[in-house]
Amino acid sequence: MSEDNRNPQDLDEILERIESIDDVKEVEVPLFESIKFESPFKDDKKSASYFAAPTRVEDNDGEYTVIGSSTVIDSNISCGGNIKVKGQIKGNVSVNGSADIYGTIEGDIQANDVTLETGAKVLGNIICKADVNAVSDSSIVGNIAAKNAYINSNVEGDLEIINELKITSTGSITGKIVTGSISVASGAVLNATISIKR
Amino acid sequence: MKEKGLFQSVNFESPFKGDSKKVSNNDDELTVIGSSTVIEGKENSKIICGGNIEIMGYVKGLVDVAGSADIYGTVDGLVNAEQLTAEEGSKINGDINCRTKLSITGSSVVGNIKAKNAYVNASIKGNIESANELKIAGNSVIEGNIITGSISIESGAVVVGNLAVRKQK
Repeated sequence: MSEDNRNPQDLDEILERIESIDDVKEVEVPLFESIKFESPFKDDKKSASYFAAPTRVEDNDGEYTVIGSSTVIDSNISCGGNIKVKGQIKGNVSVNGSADIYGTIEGDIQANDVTLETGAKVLGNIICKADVNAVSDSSIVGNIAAKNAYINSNVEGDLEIINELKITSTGSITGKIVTGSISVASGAVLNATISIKR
Repeated sequence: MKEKGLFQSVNFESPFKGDSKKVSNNDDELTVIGSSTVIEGKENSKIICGGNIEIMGYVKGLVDVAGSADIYGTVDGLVNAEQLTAEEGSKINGDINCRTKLSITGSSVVGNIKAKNAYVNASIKGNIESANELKIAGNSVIEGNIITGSISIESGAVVVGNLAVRKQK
């Protein structure tokens, strides 16, 4: 049927469908809806650069949310303050302040800065306004986008670092690296393509 | 028109697959959900906690706690706990199963409540089942049926519903 000879019934149907589409949109507001990070890995399915700032929670600098070591959360978390994760989270974590991870996160992390402590495991992408700091005996499977990164651990994924990437002697990276500057300590394991852009 | 989940296209094989931590009882441990923290967004969301929990923020989904739960914020979902305290200003939309002592003060609950001993000074829409003892303080508004081992109702309380007091054998 061409556009010109649609009868009013069709129009009604179309209107109805448009309304129902609006309904769906109102209900489902994804956590990280607007995606504004410009990524050099844009066409890469695994790229980390999908996030935007969380909008629903209010800023609260002094506040700490603590996920205890025997706690398992199967849900997404948005946090206006800081978070310490000693337990296990299956879901995305979005924090206005800093995220200290001692436990396991299966999901994406967005935070101002992220610290992975000994034993921490992250399966998912990390995006940071400031620094990512991963100590030895932690591991990341996923991409990292940050201003600075200090990698002391195992990383499988791509890194986009705006300023400085430091890989220490126990660090190991498998993936693509785009960074403003890089330093690699002797002993580090790299299986990566590196491009350095000022 | 279902929206595709974030990173759904990413198919990493999890290196932590067999790693799922069994939640062990941990008496001293405290999990704190801060006041600006929101936990929601997945179907069948749940928090399983081997220790104690303090909820000041918002949680949607099941909350299962081996120890005590202190609620200052809002919970949309079933709460299971050994001990539960709901403080002034808190809201619980869902059933409460409390194995020992329950105390609800100045909060609002929509859901059925089961507890061994219960102290209520709050607004409750739902049935209350208390094996041992139920105390209803003067500022309470309760809409629902009550089954309890023993009861005290302070003057001023509003109670609408059936009441059965049965001595436990």
